[in-house]
Amino acid sequence: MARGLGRALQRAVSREGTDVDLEGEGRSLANARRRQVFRYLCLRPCARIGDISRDLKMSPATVRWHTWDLIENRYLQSEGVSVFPSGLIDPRDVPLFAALAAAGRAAVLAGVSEVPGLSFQEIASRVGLTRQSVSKVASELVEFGLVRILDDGRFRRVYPTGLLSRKREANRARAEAFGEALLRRLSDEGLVPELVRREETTLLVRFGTGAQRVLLEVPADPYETSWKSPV
Amino acid sequence: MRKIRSGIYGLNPLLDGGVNENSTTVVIGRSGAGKTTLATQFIRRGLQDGQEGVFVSLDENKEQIIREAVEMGWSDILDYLDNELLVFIDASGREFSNFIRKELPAFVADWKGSNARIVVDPLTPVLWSTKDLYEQRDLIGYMFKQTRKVGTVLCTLEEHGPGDLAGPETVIPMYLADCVVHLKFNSDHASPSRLLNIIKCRNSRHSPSAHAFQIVRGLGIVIEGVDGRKPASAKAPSQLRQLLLTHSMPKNVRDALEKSLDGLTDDDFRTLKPEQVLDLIIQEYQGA
Repeated sequence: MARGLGRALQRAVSREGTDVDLEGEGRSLANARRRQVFRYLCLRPCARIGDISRDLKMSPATVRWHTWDLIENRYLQSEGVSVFPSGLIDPRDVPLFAALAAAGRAAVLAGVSEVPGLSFQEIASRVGLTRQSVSKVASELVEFGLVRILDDGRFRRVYPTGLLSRKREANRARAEAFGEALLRRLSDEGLVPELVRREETTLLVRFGTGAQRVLLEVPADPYETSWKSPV
Repeated sequence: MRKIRSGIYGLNPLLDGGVNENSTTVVIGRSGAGKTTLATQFIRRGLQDGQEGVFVSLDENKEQIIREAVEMGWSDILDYLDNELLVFIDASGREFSNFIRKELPAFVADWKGSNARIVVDPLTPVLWSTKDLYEQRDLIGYMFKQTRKVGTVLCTLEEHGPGDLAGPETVIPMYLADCVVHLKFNSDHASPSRLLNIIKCRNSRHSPSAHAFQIVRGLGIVIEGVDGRKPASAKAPSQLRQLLLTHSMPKNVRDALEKSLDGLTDDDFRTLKPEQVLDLIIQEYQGA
C-alpha cells in the first residue's frame, strides 16, 4: 500500500487558492501569479527569469513585472541581476545562489551528493552534459567550496563538501525571522495573515481580505531547496 | 462488505460487527456530545492496524484537538504525527469546499484503492459554504462518493436547535451517508446523561435502540451493557420455520420463505410473534 495519502491531501487542499486573485488592487501578494513568483524565489533564490517563466508557464515579461512589484513592496530585494526574498538568505551568499541557478550547476551538485566520488564522465552521462561542461561546472563549484575534486589515476572524481548543510544550519534563525517579517509585511498590506503551521522547512500562511482567504506555502529552506527539489 | 473495527468500545456489535470499509459515517451531536472523541478513537484504531489517518479539522483548532487527545491519554497520537501516518489538515470550510469541487477528482484518481481512515470534523462548514440547498446536496453527495474510494470516512455534524434532526443541515448528510450515529447529550441536570443511537447503517443489521455511554479517560467512549460475545438467539425464526411446515403452500413460496429465514435472529423480529407472522403469510398466499 502506497503511503503518504495524508500529506498529499494536505498539499492538494493548500494548493487550492493559488489561482485566486484577492480583491484589493495594490496589495502585492493579493495577486495569485505574483504569489507563485514569490514562492518560486523562496524555493530558489536568484533564479533566472527565463527559468521561472518556463517552470511557471508565464511570459518572461509577466515574471519581470511581478518581480518588480515584489521588490517595490519589499518582499524581494535585488543585487545586480539577482533577485531573492528579503531576509531569507545571507546577503554574502548571493553569488553562490546565482551560481547554483545557472544551467547544470544544481544537477551536478545533486548528482555528486547522491553518489559521492562520481567521475566527470559519469556525471556527464547522469545529468546530460558533455564532459567538458562538467569539468567547467565542477571547477566553478570548487571555487564556491561546494565540492572537492580528487584525482584517482586517470579519473577526476568529485566529492561534496557539506558546505551547504553547514550554511543551512547557520541559516535557521534567519529563516525564522524571515517568517516573522513576512507576516508583519502581509499585515501592513491589510491582508490579515494567520500562521497556520510552521514546520522546519516551510511556513503555511493563510491571508486575505474579508471572507476571501488563500493559503500560501512559503518554503524557507533555500540552502536545500535551491539545488535539490523540483519546483 | 468487509467490516473494520470502529475503535469505540461496545460499538461494533451494535453495527453488526463494525464499520463497513469504504463507507461514509456521519456522527451527529450537540457541542460536548463526544463527536471529536469518537472521531479520534476511530482514527486511532486504524493507526494501530497500520492504516493511515487523515484528520481534516474545519474551522477548528488542530492544536486543541491534539491537546485533548493527549489529555485523554492518547499521546501515541504524537508519534503517529511524527512519522506522518497521521496527518492533520486545517482549512476553512470554503477552502475545503473549493478543494472538493476542483481538486478532489484528480486526488482520488491518484490514491484510489488506499485504505486510510479519514475524518472531517465538523462537516457543517462545508454545507455552509453555499446557501443553495441543491448545491449543498450535490457537494456533499459528491464528496462522500469520491472520498470513500480512498478510505473509510467519518464526518461529524453539529446539531443545532431542538434535536429533532429535521433541518436541512442534518437531513442532507444523513440521507447521503451510509451510516448515521446520533450522540445525545443531556447536560441539563446534575448527572449528565449520554446516549448513542444508530439511525441507519446500510448493509448492516444495526441496533435499533438507544444505548447509554460514558466517556472515560484513557478509553474514550465506552457503551454500556453491550455484551459482544453473546451469540444472537434465533428462537422466533426457528419457531416460524416449524410453523411453516404445518401448513400447505406452493413449493416455490415455501422455499423462498425458508431461504429468507436463514440468518435471521430474534433481534430482527423484535416484538413480532411468529404466530402473527404466520397468519399474515397464510392470508397473503391463500388461494394463490
